[in-house]
Amino acid sequence: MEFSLPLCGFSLRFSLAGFHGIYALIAVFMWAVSLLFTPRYFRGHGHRGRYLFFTLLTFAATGGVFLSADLSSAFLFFEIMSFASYPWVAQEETPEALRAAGTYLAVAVFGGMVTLMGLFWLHSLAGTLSFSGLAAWAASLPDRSVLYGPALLAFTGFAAKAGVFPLHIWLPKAHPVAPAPASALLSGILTKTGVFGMVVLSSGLFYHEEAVGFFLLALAGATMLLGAVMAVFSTDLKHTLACSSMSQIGFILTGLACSLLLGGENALAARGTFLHMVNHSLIKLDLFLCAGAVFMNAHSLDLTRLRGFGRKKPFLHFCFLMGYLGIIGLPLGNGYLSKSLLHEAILEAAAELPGTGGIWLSLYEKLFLFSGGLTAAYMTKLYLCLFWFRNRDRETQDRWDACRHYLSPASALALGIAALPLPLLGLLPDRTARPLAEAAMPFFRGAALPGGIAWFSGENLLGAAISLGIGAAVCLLVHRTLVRRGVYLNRWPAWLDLESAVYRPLCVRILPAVGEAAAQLCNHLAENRLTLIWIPRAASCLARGLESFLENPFCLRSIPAAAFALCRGLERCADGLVLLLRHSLFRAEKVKDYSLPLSEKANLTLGEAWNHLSPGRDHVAMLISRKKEAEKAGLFLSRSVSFGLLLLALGLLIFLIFLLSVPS
Amino acid sequence: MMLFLPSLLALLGGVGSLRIRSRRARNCFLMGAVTAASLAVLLLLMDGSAPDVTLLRIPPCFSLAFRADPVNRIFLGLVAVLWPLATLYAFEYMTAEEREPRFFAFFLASYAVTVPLALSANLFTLYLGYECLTLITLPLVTHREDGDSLRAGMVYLEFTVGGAALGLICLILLAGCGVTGEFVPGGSLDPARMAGREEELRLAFLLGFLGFGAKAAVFPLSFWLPRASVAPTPVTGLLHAVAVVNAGVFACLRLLYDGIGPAPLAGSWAQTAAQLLSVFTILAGAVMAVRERHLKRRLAWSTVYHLSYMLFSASLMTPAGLRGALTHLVFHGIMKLCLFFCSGAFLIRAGAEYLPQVRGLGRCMPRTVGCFVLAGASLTGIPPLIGFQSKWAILSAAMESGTWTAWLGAGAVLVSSVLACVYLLEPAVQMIFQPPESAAGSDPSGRMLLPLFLLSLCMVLFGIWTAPLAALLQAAAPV
Repeated sequence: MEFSLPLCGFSLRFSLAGFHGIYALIAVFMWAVSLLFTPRYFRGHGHRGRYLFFTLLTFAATGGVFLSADLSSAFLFFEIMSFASYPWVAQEETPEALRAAGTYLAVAVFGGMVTLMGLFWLHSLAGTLSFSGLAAWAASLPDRSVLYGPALLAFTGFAAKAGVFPLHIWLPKAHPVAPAPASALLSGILTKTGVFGMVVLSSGLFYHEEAVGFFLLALAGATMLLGAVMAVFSTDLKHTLACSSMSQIGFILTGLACSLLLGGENALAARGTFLHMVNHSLIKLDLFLCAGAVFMNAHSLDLTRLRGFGRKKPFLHFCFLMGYLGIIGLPLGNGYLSKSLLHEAILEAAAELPGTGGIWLSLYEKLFLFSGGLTAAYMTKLYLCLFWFRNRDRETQDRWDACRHYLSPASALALGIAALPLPLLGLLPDRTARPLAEAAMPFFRGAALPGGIAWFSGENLLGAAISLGIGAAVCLLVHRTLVRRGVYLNRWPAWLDLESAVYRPLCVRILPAVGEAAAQLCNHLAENRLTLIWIPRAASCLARGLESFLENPFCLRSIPAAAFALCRGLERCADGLVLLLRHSLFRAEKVKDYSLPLSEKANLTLGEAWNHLSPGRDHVAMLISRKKEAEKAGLFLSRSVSFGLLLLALGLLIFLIFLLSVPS
Repeated sequence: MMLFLPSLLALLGGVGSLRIRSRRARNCFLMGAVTAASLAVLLLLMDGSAPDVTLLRIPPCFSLAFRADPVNRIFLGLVAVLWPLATLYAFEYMTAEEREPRFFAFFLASYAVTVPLALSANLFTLYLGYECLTLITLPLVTHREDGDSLRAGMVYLEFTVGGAALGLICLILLAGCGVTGEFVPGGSLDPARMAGREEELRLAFLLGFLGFGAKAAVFPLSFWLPRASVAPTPVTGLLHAVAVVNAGVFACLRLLYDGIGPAPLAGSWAQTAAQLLSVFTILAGAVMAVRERHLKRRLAWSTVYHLSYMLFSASLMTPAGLRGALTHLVFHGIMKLCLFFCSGAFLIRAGAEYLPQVRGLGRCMPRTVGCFVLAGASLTGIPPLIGFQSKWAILSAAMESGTWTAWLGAGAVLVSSVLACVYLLEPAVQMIFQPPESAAGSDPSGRMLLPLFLLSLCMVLFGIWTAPLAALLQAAAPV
């Protein structure tokens, strides 16, 4: 029943077996009913196309989550689903809707990223993310405490989607503002994708691990009780149902925790968990569609205003009643089945576990019964308000009574289809509920349960009776204290809101402030006055100084002059050397005789004669100077050659020394 | 010749367009030139046997050489596909700006420089191309010629030229260590000459990482990029989200994997330093993007830290890290170009520059807003769009590597994804779900919308059908 698709760079793996197939079918059923209800609800409402587009997108993604056979495919579809369902919450575009949608998205993104981190961690440890592979690997580990870190991270995103305390903040806000057909899906099936992930992680990785079981039990208790108390105090129809959803998720989680505590004897716990998932999905579909039917006619969700709306509307009454009987756990209702299984599982665990563990569980059993009682109380409050009491305003009551055509045929059909499976499950548990649970058991790793389940044993009936008794007492108390002459008083303290008290200040003020301070600091480090102004200025001063240094008279004239002088000096030195040589080595013979030699006399005579022959030029001087020039040239030539030879000799000498000094 | 044909065509187109007076004729001419150049590039990519070309040798170890190897092909292919789209977009966008002919001349000239840069076969050629690209794109940054642009241009020049100087020092140090700089997978290191000089080599790497990383806006050299978003949108989109900044990343990649080679660096202090720098940039950039109210600057901050995703992935120094970096190089280019183009369309069609001004644009510009939302969702990393692919690739690479800095980086990537959701989906929600603030414009004409649609199509198509990129990556970084 498994197959894989090579898409998105993964090989996405799917499975149709057992739980996967059943929940995919439930998803199909719920979407079909919700879509059937949609046209009447959206009559005269804008953006219907957008709603339908994202509804189908979410459907595809949700189906993908339930069918996936490994965590990476599940995560891929889970993320698509988170984002595709955002427009549902923001659909009405009112400020509250946008705020709730923002919270929804923030929690979804935060959860998604933390889960992604956990999945990577898990993958780096186990090397696989397929459900069966992970379970086999975890079973082979000697010490499973290394798994706590990655599993907790991966758990976070799924828990956030399921609305588990303390990440439930989005749930009571997002469900009421979404359109009713979408609320039904958000509450009925989107939360179950979170449960799906939690089941995979807990029963896959921590089969029979007590520490994890108690951790889950603590979360379950907090979620279950908080949701129920909030629902009791609520004065808004859909808000009550949303808080109820949160509380029921706590019930489901209780079953999961007990199944971990019991290990091999988890037959009842696992079946109870699964059946409560199914029951809750179907009941919430029915109840939210009823709320939608109320809202689309009365255009209000305030209980004070809605009081008496359901009178003289037998069809709506019937449909609501089915959901109501189911969820409060009255015997023969479908909620009774799963709740008594869960109750038995708690008792079983209390008996199994030694020492303080058992005591805690028996205390938890009381809490469980009390929460069940609260469920009965808030649902009875809604039921009585809508269908039995009269509105305090006579005019309004007349309007409600006159409202006859409150459903179109299609939406009536949807409501009827949504209500029908509930009594079927409740009345014929061995025909309907039991086979479903048996088919889903491999996924929950539930132990086999030979023989039948005594649905209506004395113990179960007693539990239900205690629960309903508490419910009746609380309901009476509520009507005595919180309802004054038909007005439902909102006594829930406004400051008791985890989101506006802790999360929003943390995310909107504190973290960004810290982040910005850090970023600004770094920005300043790189972009402060020092780097932007002083360093360039210093550099430019330096350059300017260098420039002016080079361009002053000293540089422009004195240095060349000095250099010139130096060159001259060196030239003189060379001349001096030559002179020295001339006066030492090449010293000329000193002419002591100052009388003219013969040749000079001849020149003189010849020149004087020539002067007489052609006057106008001094031929004597010419002849003498020619002779002198010739002599001088000869002397210069000989001396230069000798000087050159001297230097050559010197060079040869040096070369010789070099040759001798170099070791061959 | 084959290797230089695209550059030549682009250069001719750019210079030739200056002589054409009529806008219509000029646009046709430009589009023809860019398309021809891109076709030449694609022919080059198809042709597996393009020969290496060495133009010049500068002894002892530098040469000017070009080659089309697998990593080059990826960058080149990205540039060749995106440039015609950006040109087409710019035709309508630039009618709102002055000095059109000069803009297009430099726009094509920078194409002509980017192609040889992408084809470089050694570090020296890469360095030269890098410097040329800085200089040729300067007139585009300062295009408006007002105070802001000129200041941005100065900052741009200081940071990138300063960075390139570090790069040059790195080259010289490497030459001393016996790295020829020839791009060979695994590095062109001569182990015999390198022995005993590892520390010098690591210093050289870090200098090069900082220097070439300056264009990739790695901290502390990241501040030029948000300032440079005063340039016209085609420039901020194509050059400062794809070509120029990716050239920085590309240079770091080549230096790391094919120049020096990961072997002497992996596990050293230089790797830790590089990783810490990029992790820090990721966090700081994401936070700054959330705090920024100016839409284009916000996207620029987003570019800053997305480039550090690539640097982080690259500095893991594993083949998986290289694949992650290359995947993000390609996909980030597509997504960020689309986002910038959308914000440019908001700017010129509705005058929406700051964040509250985009309110209600979904009603009057539904197509553009649709593309913006899709690209934003993709950049945030929502499956099955391409942003998810690259993020997954980077995170898997980090997990596979398993050092403490890798874990830190993986955490930073996830934190920044949450922040990405804030800074991208916040405007998206304002556009769709809030009432318009002022009388707003309408969707731009087909010439601007066509690039947007094509990019959006790529985001969906390649998110689901990953085979083509996988084949390219297999060639570039075999497993």
